[in-house]
Amino acid sequence: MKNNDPLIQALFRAGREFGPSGEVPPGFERRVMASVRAQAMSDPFADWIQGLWRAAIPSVGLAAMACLLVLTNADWSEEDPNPESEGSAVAAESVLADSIETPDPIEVW
Amino acid sequence: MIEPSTDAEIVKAVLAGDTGRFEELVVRYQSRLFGTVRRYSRREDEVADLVQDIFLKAYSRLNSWRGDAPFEHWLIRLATNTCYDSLRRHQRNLEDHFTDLTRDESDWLERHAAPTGPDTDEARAAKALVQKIFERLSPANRLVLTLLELEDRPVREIAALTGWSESLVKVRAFRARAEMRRIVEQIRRSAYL
Repeated sequence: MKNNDPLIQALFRAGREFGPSGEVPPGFERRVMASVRAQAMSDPFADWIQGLWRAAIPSVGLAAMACLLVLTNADWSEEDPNPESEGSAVAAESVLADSIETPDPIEVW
Repeated sequence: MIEPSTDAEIVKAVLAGDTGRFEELVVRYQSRLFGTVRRYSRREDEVADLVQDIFLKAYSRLNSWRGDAPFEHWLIRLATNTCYDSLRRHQRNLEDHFTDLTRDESDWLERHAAPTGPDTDEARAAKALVQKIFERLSPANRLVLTLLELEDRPVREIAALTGWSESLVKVRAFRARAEMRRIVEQIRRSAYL
């Protein structure tokens, strides 16, 4: 939608007709090329640092997921930290005890 | 006579390791970039820094130019985004008063007639006044009005340059004109105070 305000239109017209110049300061291209060469020299480090930064985000994400996984699977009760494994140990112990022939107490006396 | 290299040939050479050939691109487009950047900044040292920044970005991202659009379009898009970022960083206080208008600027505003030639005092006043008004606009509004009204670019092209959708460009242009009207009214009021 165009603006019909004559003053605004006159301002736009003035801005269009008397736009900025494209004059370039003397030796500007040398200044740019000096910066470009300096940047090219430091490029291996820049690439390495950029690579580290890129790797940082997925690494943090993976670490967070691993933590979450550990926390959700952990059982924090103190009495029975691993009931299944302890139960099997007790059962094994009783089987072992049954298999050993205990001497009759009367015979001993 | 040797034909000058195309942009694609120069880019290929630079990417292959011939950094020095980037200078050909700098010489080819520096004037165009100075003209573009001066629309967004009045301070000459800042203009030169911005143009240098654009060329450095262009150099470091040269491999992202795919060659399906002209190099100049890609460069102007980079320049537009760099200027927009700079405007956002240096956003000035919009509550400033307009006591710094010169006599010529005030006179032009009173008459709001089109100046007769580019070298007259009137023309210079009009140009300075437009720049002062644009400096009061918010960065997004300034960008959209510069591209739409001063550079006369179609909405579609502005959308491509800025990364905004076409409808967002239209909405922002509408808001920008409203903001400009408010600023002009403020100037008019303060001129009569």
